[in-house]
Parts: sequence; C-alpha cells; structure tokens
Amino acid sequence: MSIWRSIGKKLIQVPDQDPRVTARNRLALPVTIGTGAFLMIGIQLVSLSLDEARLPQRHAGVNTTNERGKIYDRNGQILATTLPAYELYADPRTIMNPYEATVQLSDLLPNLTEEQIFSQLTRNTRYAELSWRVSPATYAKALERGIVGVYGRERDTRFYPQKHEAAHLIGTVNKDNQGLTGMEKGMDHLLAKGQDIHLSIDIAVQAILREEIETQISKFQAIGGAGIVMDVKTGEIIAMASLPQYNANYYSRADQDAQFNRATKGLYEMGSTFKIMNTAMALDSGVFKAEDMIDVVSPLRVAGLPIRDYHPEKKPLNVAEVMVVSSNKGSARIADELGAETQQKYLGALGLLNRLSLEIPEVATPIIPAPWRRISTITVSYGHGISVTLAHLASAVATTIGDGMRVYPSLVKGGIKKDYQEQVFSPETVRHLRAIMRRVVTHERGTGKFANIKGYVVGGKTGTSEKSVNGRYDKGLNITSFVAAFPANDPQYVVAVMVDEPKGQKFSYYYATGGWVAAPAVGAFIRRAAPILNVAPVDEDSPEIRPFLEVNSPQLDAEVQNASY
Amino acid sequence: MLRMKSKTSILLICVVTIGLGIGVYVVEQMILEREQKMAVLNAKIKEEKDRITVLEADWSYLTRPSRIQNLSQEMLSFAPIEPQRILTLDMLEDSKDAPQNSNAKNQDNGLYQITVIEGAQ
Repeated sequence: MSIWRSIGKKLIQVPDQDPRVTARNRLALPVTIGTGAFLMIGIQLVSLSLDEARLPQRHAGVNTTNERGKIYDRNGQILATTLPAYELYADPRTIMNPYEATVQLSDLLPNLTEEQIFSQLTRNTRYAELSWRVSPATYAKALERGIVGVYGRERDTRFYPQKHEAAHLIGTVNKDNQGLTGMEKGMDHLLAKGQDIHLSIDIAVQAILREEIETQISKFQAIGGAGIVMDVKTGEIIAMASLPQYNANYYSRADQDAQFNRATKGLYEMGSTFKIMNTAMALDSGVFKAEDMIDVVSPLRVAGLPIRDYHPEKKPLNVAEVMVVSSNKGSARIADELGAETQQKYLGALGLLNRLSLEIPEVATPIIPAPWRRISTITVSYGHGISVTLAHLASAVATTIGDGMRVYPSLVKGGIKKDYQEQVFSPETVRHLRAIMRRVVTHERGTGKFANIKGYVVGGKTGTSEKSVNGRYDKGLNITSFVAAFPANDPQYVVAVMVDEPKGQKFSYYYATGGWVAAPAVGAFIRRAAPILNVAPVDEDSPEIRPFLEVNSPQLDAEVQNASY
Repeated sequence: MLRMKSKTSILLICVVTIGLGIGVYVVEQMILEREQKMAVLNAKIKEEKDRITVLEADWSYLTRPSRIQNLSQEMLSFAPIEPQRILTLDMLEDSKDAPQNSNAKNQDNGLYQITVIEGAQ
C-alpha cells in the first residue's frame, strides 16, 4: 500500500516528508519483485524435484509392458506366450479401387476368399476387419504394397508353440487376451498381472502318452480317449491327454468334440478298475482278509438283476483272487457284506463322490446313485451305476496304492501343499493292493498282461464297461480302461488310460476290452517314458522286491497248473 | 551511505536471482536430454525383449517333442531305449568284479588261441 501512497503523494505534489520514510517506501518495490522471483524459483525447484521422484515409475511403466504371464511346463518349455501381432483393417470409404485392393490382399489373407475380402472392402462402414491377427511379416508386406485405405494396429496375441500337445489343459484366451478355458482361465488372476506360471506337466511325457493312446484309438477304430500320469507322492499331474485334440492356436475352429476335455470333464462308468477300491475297503474295514473265500460259483440275483461274470468260475476264490480274475460276482458279494454305509464312507474319503478339485474350470461332478439302494452298492463295487472322471479314478488309485494318504491332483508344479494329511487306507491294506495289482499283470489268468514291461514292475487293473445310451446299456459300445502303478513295490507314478468306443479287431479275436485296448497303451507308455521319469529298471525277482509282492492265491495257481498238464 | 547499501543489496539480489534462474534452466534442459536418452534406451530394451520373446517362442516351437521325435526317427533312425539296456550306478557297483574277470578270461583265451596258432605254425 505504501508504494501507491508514495506515488499518489508525488502526483499531488505533497510537501517533502521524512527522507527515511521515502527510502523505505521506495525499497518496497524491489523487495516485492525479489521475493516474487525467489518464490518462483522455489516453486520451480519443488516441481522439478517432484518430477524427479516420478521418473522411476514412468520408466518402469515402459519396461514392463503390461504383458500376460507365460505358461511353462515343469522343465521350462514354453506352453503359452504373448507375441506382437497386428490387426489388419480397412476403411472402405478411403479405398480407391476395391478390385485392385482385393487382388493385392488375397495372398496375405489365406483364411479369406477373394469374395470375402471384396465384400469387406465395400461395406458401408469406416471399420472393416480383415484379420484380427497377422504376423509382423505379413503386416510389413501389406505396408510395402501401400494399399490406400488399409490400416494396421499393433496388438499382442497369445501363441501356443506346442500346437495340439496338452491343448486342453493349457486352455485358450479370447480376442482381448482374457482366459477362456483350461489353465488360462484357472490361473487368469495371476497371468493377467503378468505373473508366469509353471505347470506340473512334462511336455515330453505328455507327447508319449498322447501318441500311445492315439495308436490304440486308430488300431481299434475308437472315437476318442484320455490318459493321465500322476506323481503318487505329490499328486502332480505329469501328463494329461484328451483325444481327439485340437490346435491351441485355433481354438475357435475346433469342433466341440475336440474341445471337450475327456480326462476331467467326461463322466464315465469306469467298470472293473473300481474293484481296486472295493478290495481295499474290504481289507481296510477289517470285514475281510485277503485269504477269505468268496462264493463266485452259485448264481447271484439282486432286485431281479442277475450278476454275471465275463468268465464264469468253477471254484470259490479268495478276496485277492476275485480281483485278479476280475469277478463281478465276487466283488458284488464283498460289497453286499460291507454295506452301503462303509462303501460310501470310503468312496467319499477317496473323493469319488464330489466335484473334482483341479485348477482348470473344465471339471465334472460325479453322477452317483440316488437313492443308494442295495443294488447300487453291488453295481458300484465293479464300477457300474456311478460315473466319475478319469482324473477322479487316477487320484483314487494314487491314494489307494501310494501310502494310503489322500492324494489331491494338481496341475501346478509342486502340487497342492496341505498342512494335514488324511489317512484313508492303512499301510497293510496298501501293501496287499500293490501285490494284487502286480498279480493282475503277471498272473496267467490276470487281465492286464499286455502292460507287463520287464524291469518296471508294473501293477494294474483293467476295466471294461458298456456305455449307456438313452438309459440302456449298449453291448456294442464299450468304455475300456486301464490303471497302472509302477514300480508296484514302491509306486512313483499312476498311469490311467481310457479308450472310448473301441471296436473289436481280427487281431484281438474281436475283443475290445480294457486288457486288449487300454493296457497295451499303458505298457508302451511305461517302456518309453520310464527313463524320462527317472525310474530305473530293476530285477523283478530280486529279494528286495519279490517278497513285497506275494499274493496267496492257491486256487488260481492250482488251476493254472492243471491247465498246463 | 544507507542509499548505497540498499542499491548494492538490490543488485546482488538481482544477480543471484538471474543466476539461479539460468541454473534451473540448465538443469531442466539436462534432465530433458537425459529423459530423451532414457526413452530411446527403453524403447530399445522393449524391442530386444520382444525379440527375445519371439526367439524363445520359436525355440519352443522348433523343439516341441512331436517334431523332435519325427526328426530323430527320419534323419537319425533313433528308437526308444529298451529297459534291458539301462543300468543304474549301483548295478555297476555290484558287478564291478564280474566284468573284469570275464574280460581277463577273454584275454586269456585270446592269448591261448594265439599260442596254439603259433604252435601249429
């Protein structure tokens, strides 16, 4: 205020006042300007230092392009990655000559016919999509040709270098790179944040499993199949195939049957492979001992349904032998004695009555008998009247033959870590089951002889069931399966294979059973994959192995001996 | 005296102000320049990373098991190893003496044969 007063005073020629007052007044002007200037510098300094603080963030943003995480197999092979690609589109209003442009574009877009390209180029719009995904090379060619009105836009795309291999479990994404199926969907919360994930799958083992099932499918003219290899100790799924399969890079072009995951989503009546669990619960509950005799000779009829054996027995067999020759009648009698309650308790503890817990969304809930009558208990004992997935079966067998602790399947490297363990079967039961499964593969009358690979001590169980079509069983349509564990004396891996609707062939004497169709696939798989899985061949008759796999089977042994005379 | 003093102080303030202004300007320009350099480097890094991703994907594509298997069968006539041909280290330990003995025997036989042949001549 003093400045203006002093100016005003000068203007109206006021008499001189005290020079000190005048000086003070005059000084006010430069002081104000000076303070202002310093203030400006101060503000500049503060804003600069703030800028400096912001810098690292800004550049971090440039470094980590907000890219979707990669998916690796257990050994670091890439299963899914994100690559730069271009979206190619046209603005039809600026296209000079649609005929010429069509000719120029036709070889760059092999998925579109010339008619389709032309119709896109002449649409009444400002945006006509030509391809949502072309490679940088194709895009460069399109630019080189300088077609007026054709544009491109950079856009990341998901690439699956393994093509068909493990396509079902890796899954797929939509055009906006959001998980749609498989692990892409199940692990979307991590992948979307740019986090890489490592699966439990070994892609080499996966390829062997897929190929061996494929071989059997084509030999027996089947419509499909599935297979699972599981680490018994950790529950990690080392390989999981579903056939027919599709190229993961072209998910939308695959037909529905190929997209369907038969290993985790397909529900099937598994047949005699259920006798593994039936025998285990018989021994574990204490109701039966392995040597107890079962009547498999006299006819059995429940609720008007005759229970028959594929191969009728002439003499009674013990509990172990019932499983070796896969007698339905024997299993039925055992289950009948155990009762529905015991059976349900064990099936529940094995996870066979609940939705499968796995990281992918394509999992199924078993179809179980309701109400659970006496006839249900009896048919469930040999795997009928209950539909589960192959993954259910593999986990249940891993539990039964591993160390009796509940095994939870997982597709993530390392498996699921639980801080508690659920004991389902006692070590004594487990030991019996290992021996019986070994005998199924080695015994003269066993059903799984085609899976016996010398050196790897394979133990297993076959399964054949008729498919039900419109509520009635069709004799001509079978589901054949085989579940194996190796080495049987101390199982490391469980291998489960299922082949859908095989047809009997001349070389198989027109049989299309688990022993003929699925067991050879498991055998061939073990022969090829065991070295990769780090299982060394052993001498099966050595004193460290043989005594652990003894089965008391006097009736069967006598029979075989009589037959050979 | 008082007048002189205030005049020099004003001058001093002005000089300091201008000096600081120039200083800030120079610093700002340097920062801008470095930012530009950084942006160029970052773009290069991104480009390299993209190329690495593409190469890794290419590698995975070319080493996929089904392709390697086909190649090894067609070009090298490879086949899976039979279980009988795999020995573990402990197996070698156990039979350490046996093969040596048999080798010795073979050599003995060889020598013996040679001597016989020499004798015949």
